Amino acid sequence: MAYPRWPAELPQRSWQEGFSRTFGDSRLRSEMSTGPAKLRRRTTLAPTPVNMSFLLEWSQLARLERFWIEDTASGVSPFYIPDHIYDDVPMMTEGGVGVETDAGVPILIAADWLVRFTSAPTHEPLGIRWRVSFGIEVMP
Amino acid sequence: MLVPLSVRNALLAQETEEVEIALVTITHAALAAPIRVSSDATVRLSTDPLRYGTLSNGLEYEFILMSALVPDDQKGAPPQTALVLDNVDARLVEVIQSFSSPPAEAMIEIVMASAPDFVIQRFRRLQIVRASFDESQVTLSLSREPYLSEPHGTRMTKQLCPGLHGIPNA
Repeated sequence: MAYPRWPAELPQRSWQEGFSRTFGDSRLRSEMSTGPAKLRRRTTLAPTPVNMSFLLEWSQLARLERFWIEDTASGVSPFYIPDHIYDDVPMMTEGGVGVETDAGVPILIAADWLVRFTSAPTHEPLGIRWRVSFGIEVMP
Repeated sequence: MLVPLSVRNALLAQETEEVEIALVTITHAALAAPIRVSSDATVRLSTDPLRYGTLSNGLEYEFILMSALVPDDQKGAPPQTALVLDNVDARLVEVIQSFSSPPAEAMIEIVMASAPDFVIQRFRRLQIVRASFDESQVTLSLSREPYLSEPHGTRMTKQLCPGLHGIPNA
């Protein structure tokens, strides 16, 4: 069983508006009766929460609905989506110089996220299109 | 109970990056292989299917939602502890209700995530003596066999133990 990919018919990048990413938080904070709280790690790995939003055509919304119902079995199956932070970014040396092939073509980073839906996609009409927003968690 | 200095330092520290992990191994004659579970998602064991767990001494311990208490040390009673698992799957209850043979044995090992091969404490030969469940949790009570309440095997008669019966110089 291979996990599904984010459909090619849909935009591969989220809208800037509505996109946010929070670092995974696995800390346990114990409040003291006075003074600073104590902090420790509760687990080693923690998923990274990400919020996304897309502007979709009618047909794309239907594709998303099929992705939700069939491909991810109503949003429970993990799926791959391009890494929104590092995918397609030129690889750099320490000095900030782009790494290139012999032919002078920049080498791009290819990265995927393995994610799960944390909230079901909400869609609201925006003109003749749909604004879809949902939350995912990037699995560590 | 001897707790290593490094662990004590981590427990008392204001901030620590150490994660304490309870590794539980459940063995039973009816099980083909022991069940190994961990309280921490330390590494990704496999991507497809997505599984998390802890690797300790070359063995894979599957991560499940669990809370474990360190076995207690009461006078005159065998050490007792409880494992509380989230009842995420109805099959858990089915398995628990199906036990009719001798109780399953469990071993709890405490390790740190930074050194999962080094066992800080090991509680062996614990038996699952009671299992209770409701719709959200499964609680497994573990205990050692109560050797202290075993009968002695001989009767304390006047002939054998005269001192007990107040007969001096028998």
